[in-house]
Amino acid sequence: MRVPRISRRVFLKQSGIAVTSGLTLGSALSGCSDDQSNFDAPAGWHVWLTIASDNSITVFCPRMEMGQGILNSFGQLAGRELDADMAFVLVRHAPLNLEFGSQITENSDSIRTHWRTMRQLGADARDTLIRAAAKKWGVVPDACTTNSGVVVHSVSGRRAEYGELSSLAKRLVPSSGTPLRSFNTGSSAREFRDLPTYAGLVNAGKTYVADISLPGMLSAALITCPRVGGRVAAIDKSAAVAAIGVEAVVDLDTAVAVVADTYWTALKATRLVNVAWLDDTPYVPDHDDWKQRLQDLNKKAGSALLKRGEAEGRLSTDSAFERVYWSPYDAHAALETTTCVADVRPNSCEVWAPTQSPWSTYAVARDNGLSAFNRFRERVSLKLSGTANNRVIIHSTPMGGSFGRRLQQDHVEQAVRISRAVGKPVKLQWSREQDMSHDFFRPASSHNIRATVDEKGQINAWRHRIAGSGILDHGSASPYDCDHELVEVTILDAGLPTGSLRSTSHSPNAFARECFIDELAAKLGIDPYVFRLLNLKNNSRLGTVLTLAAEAAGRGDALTTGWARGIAVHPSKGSFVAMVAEINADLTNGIRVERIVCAVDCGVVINESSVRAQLEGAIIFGLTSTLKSRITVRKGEVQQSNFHDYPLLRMNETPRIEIHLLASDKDPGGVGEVGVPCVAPAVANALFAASGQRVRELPLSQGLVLSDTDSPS
Amino acid sequence: MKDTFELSINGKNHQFVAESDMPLLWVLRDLLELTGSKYSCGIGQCGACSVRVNDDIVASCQVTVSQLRGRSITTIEGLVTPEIEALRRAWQEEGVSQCGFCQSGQLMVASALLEKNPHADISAIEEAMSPVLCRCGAYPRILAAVVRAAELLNATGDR
Repeated sequence: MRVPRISRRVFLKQSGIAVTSGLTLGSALSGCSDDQSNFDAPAGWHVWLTIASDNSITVFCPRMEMGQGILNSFGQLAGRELDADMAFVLVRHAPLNLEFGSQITENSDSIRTHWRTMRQLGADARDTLIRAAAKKWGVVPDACTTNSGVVVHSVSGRRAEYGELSSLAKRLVPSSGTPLRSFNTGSSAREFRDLPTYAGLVNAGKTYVADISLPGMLSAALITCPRVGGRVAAIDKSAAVAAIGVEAVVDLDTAVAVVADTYWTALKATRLVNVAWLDDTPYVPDHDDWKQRLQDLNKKAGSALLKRGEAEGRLSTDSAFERVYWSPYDAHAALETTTCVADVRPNSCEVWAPTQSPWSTYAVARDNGLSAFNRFRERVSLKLSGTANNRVIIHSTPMGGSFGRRLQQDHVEQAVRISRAVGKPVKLQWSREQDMSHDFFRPASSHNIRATVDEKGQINAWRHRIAGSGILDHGSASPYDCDHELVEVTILDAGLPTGSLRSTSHSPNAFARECFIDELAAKLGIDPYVFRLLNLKNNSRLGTVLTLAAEAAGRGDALTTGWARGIAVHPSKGSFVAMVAEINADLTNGIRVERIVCAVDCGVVINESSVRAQLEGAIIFGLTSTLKSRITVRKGEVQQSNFHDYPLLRMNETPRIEIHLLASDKDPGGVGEVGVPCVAPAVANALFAASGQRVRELPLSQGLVLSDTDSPS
Repeated sequence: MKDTFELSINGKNHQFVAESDMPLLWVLRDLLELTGSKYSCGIGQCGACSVRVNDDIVASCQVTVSQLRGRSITTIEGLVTPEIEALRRAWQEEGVSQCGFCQSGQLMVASALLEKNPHADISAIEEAMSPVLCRCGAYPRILAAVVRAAELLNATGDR
């Protein structure tokens, strides 16, 4: 079915900006497929750019900001081609409109998907403005140029600001296919770091969903079952509802909400509610049982994810090398806990939520907040207009971190149901304890890798078996040269909810593989860098960053006295990453990472500052699960609850980080997640170099044996 | 049990009714709509709720309203000092902010540090700032920004 053109009036009303006379460019394309899965095919403009008569430029970004700087980057991409005065460029989350596609933000693919679109938008807008000026002045467009928000006719010196031209420009058929300017790489280190419209955020700070206040709004705190998956059997709320300030106690089946005038009142009143939970919680294995079970499964064949050549046959020899690795569950632990504001009225549902998936938020709000009849009407409206109608209004709030957590909509469902039950706007806030134990964790996985190597040090057969729950296949294919490769997976239901967590299974797969490669190298007596390079002849981009990282770390130079080094590489999201970790060889107080040298080929760099920030951030993110924290289950309960037992890396534990970006004009690869996978294996390999200990599980502190006699090998 | 309290916050007297065990954090956020101080852990482990009580940095989730009688409180909204101005400028120059959620806490602690120790070295900065968590991993830039702010302050001799 052809998605109809959205009328400008409806769009502007829906996006909340005033209808001003001005040029609007966008994706009103006929024949645009409504198949969301095809969204990354380049096809004209998929986002909106408006230029108002007051010179303000609004770029609508169909991806959600969670600290990765996407609004900024999109504004720069469009603004640069537009040759805008950046002080006037404002970027907002795009309203819900099927023309934008799924609007999900995940997989580090926002730039990859949209960078050309944004540039084309800006270029076409600029060209249309030039044509408008030329028409106004009676000159040929070729005689005009632009300079930071102004069109200039060089010969006469006549000038017109974009805002002044916008109403004229809107009467022209917008330009399309304007040639793009060359993309200057390497010049943007400090340039356009932050659009001026974001500078104010440093002063004022963003308004997160928990900061919102609505007239008549109540606060809700939850009671959740200590056991995973617990469901309500009975509630004794008599004491709670009698408490001053408490409005209601709402049964949400998997939780109970206490609604009161303030969060503190609600929180205190949760202790007055007696909840009996059903006995039918799903069986969630204890950590040690689960680990054993998965390791046992690793001994058997799984479902083949990848099969090339004849790996199985070649690996049945006794000289094959085999090792097993363990990655536990991990928590997202974003600093903003799971929170949502909902205002459900008889014929509408308005939601404020931090979300990576606004269409999912919309669907959950619609399905839980509207009557059956209104749901039907809303579905019809959506089909006809391609936009979310004003029966369901979604405000995507800035996220206080997310890392994949806010793809889930559990908080939205709860807040909407609570508001509907009490008939008032409600702010639902999860405690840190609830956030920690009711996460959608990175699944635990056991890895069994078996390989053979020839006398020249070339890997000639490779089998990687993975067992666990949830997503396990991302990053499971080996990047090393090998004609005989087998990747098998066995997926079980562990009873513990799992989801996407920054780099998904790239990290557990890279931990297993890169530690294994290191062990293989050691067994052969070959330097771990040399061994990898030997086996990456068919992957020159990965080999290049490997060499770049090794040399930047000072390969061949004497290592700083008392330090030890480990190396790892991993390709993901179209980017190529190598890392050298240097740790203090004195392990008496645990592992201290002194320096991380990281080399990245992520294709053309759009915003160098953002890329570096994301890589530094990902490395620090990865160090928490490498050194300190994991999620374990015992008797059906998640054992961790807050930052005292799931500690995050602190500033005084942070190594010096050096990022080396390969200059490239290749298409951009993803950046947000790619810095995570190499961290754990690089540090584990450094640990081996320091102590001779191979720790094959995370966090490394779990397997590390401390003694007074540790010395670098 | 509810009682009437009067607190001096950001130089202004606020009178309100609250339970005596209400943490200052929730007084600020829910009663006074001063939402710059954030909730993140509730156990004094993250620094996101940092405020000043009589010049000392305090986790506002760990102190109750009844413990604050007669004290003077400053939140991120009310902090106006040469140190915080230099920090805000350095924050922008260094491109510190990712999600921004820890920012209030980082700025509160950093400004207190620079007031007490304007020549703090890297090690001293790291120790002083470590109580404030950042999950986005902006520590390298936070550190650079504090160093930069100190430079700005020491250059102008502005105190």
